Amino acid sequence: MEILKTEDLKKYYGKGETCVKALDGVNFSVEKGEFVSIVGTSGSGKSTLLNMLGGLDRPTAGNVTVDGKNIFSLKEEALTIFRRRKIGFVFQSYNLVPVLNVYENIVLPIELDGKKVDKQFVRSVIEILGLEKKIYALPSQLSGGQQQRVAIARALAAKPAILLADEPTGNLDSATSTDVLGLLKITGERFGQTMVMITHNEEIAQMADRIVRIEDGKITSDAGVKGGGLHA
Amino acid sequence: MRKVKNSKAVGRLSKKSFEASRTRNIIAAVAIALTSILFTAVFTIGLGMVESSQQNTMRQVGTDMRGVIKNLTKEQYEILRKHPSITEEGIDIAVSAQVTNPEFLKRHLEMHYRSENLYKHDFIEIIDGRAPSAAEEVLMDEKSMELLGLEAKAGQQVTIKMRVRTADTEETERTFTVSGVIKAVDGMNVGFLYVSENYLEKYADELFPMDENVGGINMSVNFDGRADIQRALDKIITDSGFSTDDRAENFLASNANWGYMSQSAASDPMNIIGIAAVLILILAAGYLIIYNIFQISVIRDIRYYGLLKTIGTTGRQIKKILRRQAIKLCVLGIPAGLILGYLAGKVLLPMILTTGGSTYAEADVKVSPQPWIFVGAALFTVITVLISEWRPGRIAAKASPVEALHYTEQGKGKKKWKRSTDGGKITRMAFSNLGRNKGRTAVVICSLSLTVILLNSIYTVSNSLDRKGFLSKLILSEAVIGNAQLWNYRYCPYDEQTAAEEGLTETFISACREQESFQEGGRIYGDVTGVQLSLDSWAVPDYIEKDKNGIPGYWREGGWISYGLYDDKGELLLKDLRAAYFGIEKFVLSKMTIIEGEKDTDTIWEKLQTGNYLIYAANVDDDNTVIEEYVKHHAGERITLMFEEEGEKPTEKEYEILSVIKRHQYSLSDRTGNDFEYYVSAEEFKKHCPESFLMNYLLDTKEGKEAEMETFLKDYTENVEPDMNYQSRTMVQGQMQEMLGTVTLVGTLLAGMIGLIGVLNFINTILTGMVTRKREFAMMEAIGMTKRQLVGMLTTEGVCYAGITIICSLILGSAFSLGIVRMISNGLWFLKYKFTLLPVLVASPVLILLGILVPGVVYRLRRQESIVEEIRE
Repeated sequence: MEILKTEDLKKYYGKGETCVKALDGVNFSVEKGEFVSIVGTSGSGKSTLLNMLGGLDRPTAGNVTVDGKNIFSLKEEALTIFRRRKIGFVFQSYNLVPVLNVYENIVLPIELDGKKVDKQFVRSVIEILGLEKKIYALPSQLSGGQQQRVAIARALAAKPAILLADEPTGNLDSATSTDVLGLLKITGERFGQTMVMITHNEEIAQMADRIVRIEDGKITSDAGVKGGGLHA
Repeated sequence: MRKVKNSKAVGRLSKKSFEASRTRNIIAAVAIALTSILFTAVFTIGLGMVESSQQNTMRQVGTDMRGVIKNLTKEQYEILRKHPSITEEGIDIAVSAQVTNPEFLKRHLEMHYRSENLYKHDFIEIIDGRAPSAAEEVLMDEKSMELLGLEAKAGQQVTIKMRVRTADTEETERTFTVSGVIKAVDGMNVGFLYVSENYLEKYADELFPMDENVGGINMSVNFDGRADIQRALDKIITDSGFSTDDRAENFLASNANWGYMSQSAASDPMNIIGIAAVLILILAAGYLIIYNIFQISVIRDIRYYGLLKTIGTTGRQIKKILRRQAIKLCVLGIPAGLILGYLAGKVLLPMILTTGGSTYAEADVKVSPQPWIFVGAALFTVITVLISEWRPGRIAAKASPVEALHYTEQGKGKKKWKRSTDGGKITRMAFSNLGRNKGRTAVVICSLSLTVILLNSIYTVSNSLDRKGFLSKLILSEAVIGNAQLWNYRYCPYDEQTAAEEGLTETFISACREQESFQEGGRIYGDVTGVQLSLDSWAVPDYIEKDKNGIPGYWREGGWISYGLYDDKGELLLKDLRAAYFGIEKFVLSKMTIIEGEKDTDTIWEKLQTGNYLIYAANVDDDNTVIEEYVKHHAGERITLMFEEEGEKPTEKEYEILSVIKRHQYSLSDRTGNDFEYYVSAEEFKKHCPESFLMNYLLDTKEGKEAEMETFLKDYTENVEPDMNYQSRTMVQGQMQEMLGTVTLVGTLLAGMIGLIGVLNFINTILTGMVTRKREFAMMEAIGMTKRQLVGMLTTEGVCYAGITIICSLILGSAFSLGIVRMISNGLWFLKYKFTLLPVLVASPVLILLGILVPGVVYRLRRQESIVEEIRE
């Protein structure tokens, strides 16, 4: 089942000679439960693509369909609400709310939605990510790896249809990177989570089911990973 | 959209973000407190003005009861008092037709019974002793006691002679014990004596039934509601079975207390516009400060709001987070503001009320802590805060998640700055920085300039005060003495009795003449009731209009004012015109400003002595210029004056107009304003009118002896002849100084307020600049710009602000001064416009100093803060 689909997605910045084509007709889709890596060099348009997929930015042309819904047909306010219900984000810079503690950060998207927190589920996510002892700590009291784990927990807590990760290990050293990515993969498997991850690190990309390569705003290759992936 | 239960998350975010921005909160709470101080002060002053004016009117009326139903019999009173709408009532009964003690010849004493519960409503203030209870006990006012030669102390015996009933020919003599002394009513030449209820019972036989003066019951009533009091009174009367039709058998007369109707201070549209303008000014001022604070905090935290959006906070929720913080700040700031504002208003109110010569008894200047003051001020403050918070809230709500992410990524640093130690570059950089946020730069410069311009205007006004003009407008000689009634505008004697009550005494004049400080003086006699100008003898000038009966008059505010006398039904009663006839001594002539005809005072005086000539005073406006279309005679014309004789045909006399002078309402006339004022010599006056019609006496003192005369006059009018009064240049100068003081005080407060806003905005702007350019600064430091150079750049920016402000103030201040201030000054007779820019010049160094100090201080404060922030982030 297709959970995420883009149709001829374009994003242009500027006009005329100075026009930059960050995305220039991207077509691809992600199946439910799939783990996809998007790989490209700096300036290839991969971050722009992720922002489009998450509804953080609006495209110049084309559509993004998440869980059967064309997200850009939604108004600003409705899009935000759709995003917090269907999409979880993990960013390179963690983006935790500095004034809230770990637990509050994790459940914030759920509470913002006015839903009741599924405490058991959240507890299991916290356990898997090894954050039990840190739930009252403030983000500033955590290491980078720990902060990123909190970000992953927050992304998962709302049980999103899809989890988008933008260079989740970009700010971490290699040992921590492997650690965090391992956890990401485990939780993905455990909860049957669809995940799209952006990276420029080949080694990390190899952990996905499928690798999509992007260059100059266009997809150059799209292939499954042998032996890798979650459902191989 | 369905309502989601998310208030908990929003509440927590709001609370935590609130706690995280302590510095902002302190500044914001102070700003909110300041705003509410201003609002409360304005409300206190506004409502205090209404209350004081009402209180003042009530005191003039003599009661604060809603109304009175008059001349009732006991039976009628018993019926009426049962009316259900009455919440409180009390009665007043005159118990004597006339008190005949010789001591009370000039200042009558009235004897009444009045219900004790009315004392507090009728401003009867017992200063010694207590209310009367036995039939032989009375309350008496202090002045009447003095007239009897007694000290104003309770417990003394007084003997009162009186005619009890109007028809009595014989005097009754009764001795009372003064159980209490009451305060004499200011400005009223009547004394009061109040008897007890037991007196009423004891002498019921002689009091009832009532006659035209004695025994009638006046019932004062109170009921709920202040609107349409007369109708409420009428309802009480008709409900009780009486009539309000004055032709009916059972008619009862009633009066509503007009103190409740003429809420002059409140209903005056100028006052309402004035107060509205001040409220809007405060709102704008408060907005500018609070808006800036929120704006800065939002800009600083824009990344944070973007982040909140990324993880699913909607714009609406972000607005709610901010609004909650704003309300919390209101809760912190407003209460203190309300208290301080109320106190400030209370202090300022008396100063404002007594400006412009308004006569307010000290006791009348009052303001009670009405809930309206606080509700209104709090409401206005909250509105200001919410308006201020609205736009920053929108900015935060619109924070784009992507930009929030970009913001972080920018940390890699893409911009390039040229390394430079060249000071010239720093200056250029500072200049271009000013242009970054043109709107805010403009606001800062505007509010700073406004302060300077306002100060300049206030100074110009106080500097333009025409002291000489002000003095000569109000008083012609060093001092003027007369009966106190002259200053109450009540000099209009028509017989010996009224002349004794309203005229000046010769004893006072001789007392003045005996003073060492006395130099010269002259009497003015005046008859303002019994002399007419024969219309037939007057060649009415073409520019004076006439009505269908040929009676001249003039239009004022759309209504026709006739010089003749008509009755209610429009019947002409008197076609000859009421004139004011004055007799003067030579000294007075020397004080007159002659504008037409014979100018030499000696010649005039000689000719006046013949009795064939008179001087006519032409109307002048506030600027002391003759109003041509009101000039009724010119020199050389001949007119006939008619002098009323009791029971006989008036005698007539023809005069030639020798000279025309400028009218002087306060020193040369009875102060009220007559249309036809003529001056003859004192001798000529005495041929036609009684010598006792002595109006006033102008006098000059020897050089440098003004203070001695002042002391003498003050003492004499207080202790020797309290019915007499005086006015002196020293007094007028004092009033002038007082008025000037208030204008300066209010103006300076206003300027201070706007100045504070200006400085706060300035600080805000510099601070915002630092917040938004934090990265830029860090970068510049990274590439080798020293802190000293950085502060130098900021200081240059500050000095630029100051410089532009000074230039603006000079240009706009001159324009404002020459335009508006000059217009206002020319409109006010006591001002003579003088251009000045002194305050701008004085303020300039202060502004430059601010420009230098503020950036440096703010930068240092900022540095400390950002270290903390860096640790936290």
